[in-house]
Amino acid sequence: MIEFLAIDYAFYVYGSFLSFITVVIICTNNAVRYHKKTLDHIKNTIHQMSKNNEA
Amino acid sequence: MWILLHKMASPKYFYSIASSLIPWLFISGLLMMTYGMINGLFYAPPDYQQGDAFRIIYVHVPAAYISMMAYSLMAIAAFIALIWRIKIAHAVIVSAAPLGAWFTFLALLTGSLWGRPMWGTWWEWGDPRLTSELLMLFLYLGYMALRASIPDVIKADKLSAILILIGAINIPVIHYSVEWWTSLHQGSTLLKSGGPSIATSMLYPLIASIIGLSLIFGSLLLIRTKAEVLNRERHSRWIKEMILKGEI
Amino acid sequence: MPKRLTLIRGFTAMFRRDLLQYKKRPSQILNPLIFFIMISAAFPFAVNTDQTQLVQIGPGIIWIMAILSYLLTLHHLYNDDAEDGCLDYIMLSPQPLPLLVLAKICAHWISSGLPLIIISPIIGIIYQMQVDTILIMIATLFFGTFALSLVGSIGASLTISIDNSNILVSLLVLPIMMPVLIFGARTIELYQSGATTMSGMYFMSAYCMFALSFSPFASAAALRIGAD
Repeated sequence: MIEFLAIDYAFYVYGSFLSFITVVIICTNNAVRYHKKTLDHIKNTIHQMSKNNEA
Repeated sequence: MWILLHKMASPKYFYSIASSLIPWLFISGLLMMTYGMINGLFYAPPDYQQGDAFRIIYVHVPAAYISMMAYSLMAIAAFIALIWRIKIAHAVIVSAAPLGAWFTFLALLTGSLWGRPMWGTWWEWGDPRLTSELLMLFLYLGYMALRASIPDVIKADKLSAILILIGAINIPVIHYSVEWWTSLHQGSTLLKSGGPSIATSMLYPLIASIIGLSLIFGSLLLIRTKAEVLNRERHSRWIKEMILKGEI
Repeated sequence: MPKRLTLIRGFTAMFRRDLLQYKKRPSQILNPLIFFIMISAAFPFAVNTDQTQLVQIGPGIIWIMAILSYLLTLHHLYNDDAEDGCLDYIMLSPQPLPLLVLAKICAHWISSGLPLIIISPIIGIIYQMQVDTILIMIATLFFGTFALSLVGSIGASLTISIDNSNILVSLLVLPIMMPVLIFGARTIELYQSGATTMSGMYFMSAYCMFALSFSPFASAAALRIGAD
């Protein structure tokens, strides 16, 4: 395993790959959380409204 | 197929299509991306000129490709939104902007990490491709700034769409910058007449990475657009019915 | 017999009106000019450069300072008319709006760009430029300020309904202005080191023509959208 890490310019290559993975994870996280937040907010509003109507 | 495209303009239909597409796109994108990255990192032979540092190509080229493709997507959507007044195109533009900005930043970051061992410098100010890619980042940020400062949604949509169309001139500038000016950055290797000038064992992971990242970008775009559609249509009946029935 | 409504008459009427507006408020013109002089002069104070270095970096500095101070004047292109309601009347006129927008841009350039170009030799002397270099600088600034008026009008028309939109206009316009900045500053530098300047001039005039052909239409569209 160590010999895989000891390629030339290891810092730059692994740094780029790590930053790539980080950015993709950040974007996915962001998108999914934004979607969840919007959906939950709307669900709350609608359930609230329907409760008020029933009451 | 035209009927399908016609139907996609309706937010409700778009929402259900997007919901079913997202898992497929994301999983297949993730698989292709992993194949591309693992192969590129460990199994592709080292370049005779650049040694092992060329492996950064497997993250740099997809990111740069996505940065340009995202802007072209936004420009086409802006065109559709302004001329044919299809409202969902505005939602697509809003969703694509932060993703495109992130990938442009990633392209610049990985590019500069590649440039340090290869050209000896983190950044080269005279280089046309680096400058125009940086300009692209500024265009994305300017778009988001303009949207954030106009409170009315409809006005913000239309004005930002005009801004995107104005900045669209940058795309051919970035693409042809290595032909028109002398640049440190190398010329095109894939889209050349006469076929790609790169060895196949290096080429296949690269193509897999590009396609994989595009699929991932597509799925993220669809997730954000779904959220944006929800935001814009929150008062409409179809959302209320779907939530009360528990489908959403 | 009433005068016929022609395009030229519409253009000259709008042009004259705007020039008169700028003449009535000289501070709108003078303040950015004084800003330009002050920041151009402040640069050698802050950065301790000797003679030869100053000559080398001079063109770029002057260009950047010119653009920065010119961006300050863009605010007055549409906002003054929007504030007192004249812009709505302008949009209701039978003349085509892009024509009137073009007239406004030309009036703005004459009142803000020309003084900048006239002051620039003084700044050039501060930066130890030769007379022929100063002439080249004036030529490049001519194209640059005109291009900035055109492109800046798009930025100004997009941000009409926003208060304190100065920074936002700069943020939107600067990326599009970068090619002109690069070519303008580099042309002067190339001339200083003996190369030909024609390619830079051609590029900048081409950029101006390109901006001239689409900027009035884009600004008119943005104005109409921004006014509901």
